[in-house]
Amino acid sequence: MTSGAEVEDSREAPSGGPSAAAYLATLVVYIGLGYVVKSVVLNWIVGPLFLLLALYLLPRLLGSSRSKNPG
Amino acid sequence: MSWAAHEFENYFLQKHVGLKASFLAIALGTFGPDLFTKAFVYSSSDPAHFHRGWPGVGFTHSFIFGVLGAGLVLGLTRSRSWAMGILIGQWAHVLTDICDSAGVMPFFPFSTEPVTIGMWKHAASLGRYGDATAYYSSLGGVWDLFWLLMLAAFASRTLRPEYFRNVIVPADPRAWGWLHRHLRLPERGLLLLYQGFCFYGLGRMVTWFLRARLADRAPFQPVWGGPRYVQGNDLSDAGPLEVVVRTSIGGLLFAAFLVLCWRVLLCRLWQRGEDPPSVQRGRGLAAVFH
Repeated sequence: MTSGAEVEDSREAPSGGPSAAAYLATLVVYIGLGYVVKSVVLNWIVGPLFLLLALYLLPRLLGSSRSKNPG
Repeated sequence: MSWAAHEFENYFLQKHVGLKASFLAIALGTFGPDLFTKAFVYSSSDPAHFHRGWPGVGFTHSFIFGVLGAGLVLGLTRSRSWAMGILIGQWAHVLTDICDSAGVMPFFPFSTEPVTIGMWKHAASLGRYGDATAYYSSLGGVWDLFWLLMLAAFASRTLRPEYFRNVIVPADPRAWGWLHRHLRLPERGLLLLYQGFCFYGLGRMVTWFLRARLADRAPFQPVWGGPRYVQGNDLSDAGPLEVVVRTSIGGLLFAAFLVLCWRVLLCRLWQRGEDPPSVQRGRGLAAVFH
């Protein structure tokens, strides 16, 4: 299926989205990392993906590792 | 060259084209001129000339490069929104880069005269990091801030989830659907990917500015043609009148070439092209803007 319907089907509850504080904290972390390790994060690949990495992929990874090792 | 302005412009452009161009294509079109060349620019013996001149890769900063890219995409994918996005993004990049001292050749190959308003110095000769420091010590950094403010004042709604859901995805359901399936990203993840370009622009603008002030201790000189500590690198000795005449002739020849290309090939490709179901595309300017 190549319509936007499948994207719409994957909607989550509005409350599940990141808060403004989460965006701000991510920005601060990005700026801090960029200042120290500029070549790693201040580039065309990592830069645009950083938000996705920090606010979706990393929490999901941590969540799944916690559920695997509840102790 | 411009830095974060290229990211902020994408959202501003998207606001004006709405459903009629793919955001991902606009972003790719904006990256296009520097995508495969920037690494070589910094290692070149004459970076400004290599980046913007001819012989060199200056043709990537010309309108014809955008037409070729858009035509190729239209021919291969039949997607009008992608072709339109590539064209708009690449042309916006060309127009923005007129501001630095090296300028661009907008009507290459019909005119190889660089067009510039010399607002800040092209500083690629200082290497990537030196270039960033010089840019954020000049009016270049102010230019980025200007586009950020434009985005905040006139196009901030483009960053909202509703806009992403009602405009961005319907304008390009194939690409977002592909990302959803292959990267297993729900709408929330796709939204973060979409917002990521603005985040990157803001993040790098602040970081490079802080590095320029605190780590490199470069003087902040937001004056026309600054920063003064960078040597001039104009690519042409021609006077303003000469530039206007040559560019005007180049522009007329380019317009004639574009009309010819449209009649011979592009019109057929466009008619063969497809739009997403939700797109109602008019004629003339209404084919591009909403």
